[in-house]
Amino acid sequence: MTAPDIILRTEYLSKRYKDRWAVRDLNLVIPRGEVFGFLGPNGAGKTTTIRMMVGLISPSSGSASINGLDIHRDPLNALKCVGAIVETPAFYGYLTGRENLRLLGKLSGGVNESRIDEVLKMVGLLDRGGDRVKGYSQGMRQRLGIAQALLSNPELVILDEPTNGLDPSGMIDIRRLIKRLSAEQGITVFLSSHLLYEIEAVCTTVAVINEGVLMAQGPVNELLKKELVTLEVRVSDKGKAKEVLRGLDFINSVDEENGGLVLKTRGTHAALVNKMLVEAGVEVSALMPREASLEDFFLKLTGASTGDRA
Amino acid sequence: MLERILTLTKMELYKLSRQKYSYLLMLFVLLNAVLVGAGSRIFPALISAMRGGGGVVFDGYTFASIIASGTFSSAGAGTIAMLAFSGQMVAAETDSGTLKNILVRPVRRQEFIIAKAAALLVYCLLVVLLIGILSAIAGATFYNMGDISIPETGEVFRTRGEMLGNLGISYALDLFSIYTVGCMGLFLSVLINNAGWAVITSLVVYFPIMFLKNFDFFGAWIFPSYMDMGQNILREMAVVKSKSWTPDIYSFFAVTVLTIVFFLVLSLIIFRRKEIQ
Repeated sequence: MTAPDIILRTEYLSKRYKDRWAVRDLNLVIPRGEVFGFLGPNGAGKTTTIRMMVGLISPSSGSASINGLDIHRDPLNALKCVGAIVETPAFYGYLTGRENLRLLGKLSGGVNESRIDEVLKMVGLLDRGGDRVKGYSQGMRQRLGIAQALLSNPELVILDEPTNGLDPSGMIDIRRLIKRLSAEQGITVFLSSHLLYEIEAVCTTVAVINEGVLMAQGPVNELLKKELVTLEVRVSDKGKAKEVLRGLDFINSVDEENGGLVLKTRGTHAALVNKMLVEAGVEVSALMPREASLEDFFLKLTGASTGDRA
Repeated sequence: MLERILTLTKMELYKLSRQKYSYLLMLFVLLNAVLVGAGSRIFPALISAMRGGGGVVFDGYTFASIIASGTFSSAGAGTIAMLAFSGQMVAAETDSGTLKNILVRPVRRQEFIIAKAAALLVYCLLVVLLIGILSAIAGATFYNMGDISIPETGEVFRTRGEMLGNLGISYALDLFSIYTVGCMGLFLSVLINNAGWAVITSLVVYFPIMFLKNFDFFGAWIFPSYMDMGQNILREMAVVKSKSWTPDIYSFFAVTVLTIVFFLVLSLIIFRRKEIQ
């Protein structure tokens, strides 16, 4: 990948607090136009990484660059094309949402009233823009945070857990908005989240971080979806079903659990499993995929890497 | 760079104009100016004692009484208000997280601090101007604002115009004094992340420094020694014909300007390296 194709890059980015590494030797490459997921549990080092990426804190070693410009050597030029939310968005409560955006717009430059209207509309706050922020709910503040990140038509938007505090419909709206920003405006989005399904739903590429260390990085459909899918099956004859299922090459394991069977399959083969069982004369009363938890995912990654080392 | 500093300063001033806190502190100082002016007419001995006059009431000292009521507010209430104001200027932004919104934009950290210092100067100027106007109104209401003459001979030794000029100089010195205090508050505000603690620390730190002025060794070198210098010289001018601003004003400027530069440079250095969590 050539340099112009990469909008954000970190090289051996590390942050150490006293005797603890918050982030260690992080090498990320974020291609232009991608929705890049940054996945990790709480305390994994996601926000520390973002803080270093936008120059709020200095790395202990390593570097972060935006459009080839080192964020710590040339922050003024590096940040020109960036919009960001770092943790919970905060605003001046005694000012209205619109006034807050107006002030921040002046700092970014080139932001007029129609752009403010546009971003308020994008996040669904056009009607409430004239209200003081101190009266906003957590979700509204989160939306205003996204609006301020989009104000200056950035090439790169860095969003740190943007759906925190939102209700389910708000979460869906924000995810749609992120997809739209990438698809329609070509904006690169760096999305930090601890929600596996959020990353799967929105992102094209993902990096997984745990305890400050990068565990994996790659396209979402390769990295997350190649993982084993868990299916729960309720059948009339468990013994016969086991026999049938163990003969299938895409089935990794078959176990009994809570009166049913739990299958690990490589890829999504629910329809095929159902067909094979029915053809073998086994009555299927329920067949459902089990959502993989982030913990499971990490366990798999850790297990895999342990295995690799061994 | 200048353009960004100007934008940031305008932003600061706009925020100040919309915050109740700025008005409340100003009201506190101005009420003090009016009340001390009125009080010095109604309870002259008490107010004289409060000003450090030892309860002595000067006859024919009318112009200076008015002026002193205003400068008293600058030196006392103005100092407290300025510490409470400047102590939260940066800390409140760090504390609430609004600082991050600013620093993730193409803005240099030193520009942010310079803009804060500029906004602080404008606020100090407003406070001093309003104290001046109010104390003059209080003076015109409670005292005679005429020439100052020797009671026994009736000889005029300070004309009204001359005293008004001196009043202007006195308030200009007050501006420097309270700005110095403000810069100390700003420095502590950079150092401490919690707004409440930053204000309390500013107030707590100031008074021991002020106490040091009682010692000869420190007295000449620390800025609290010069806080009420304008008022004191003005009062002396009202009773001593030969009193002038020089040479005291030289040491005043040397200490206050150096202190302002010291706190601002230190604020810039610390803020540049500060980790914004």
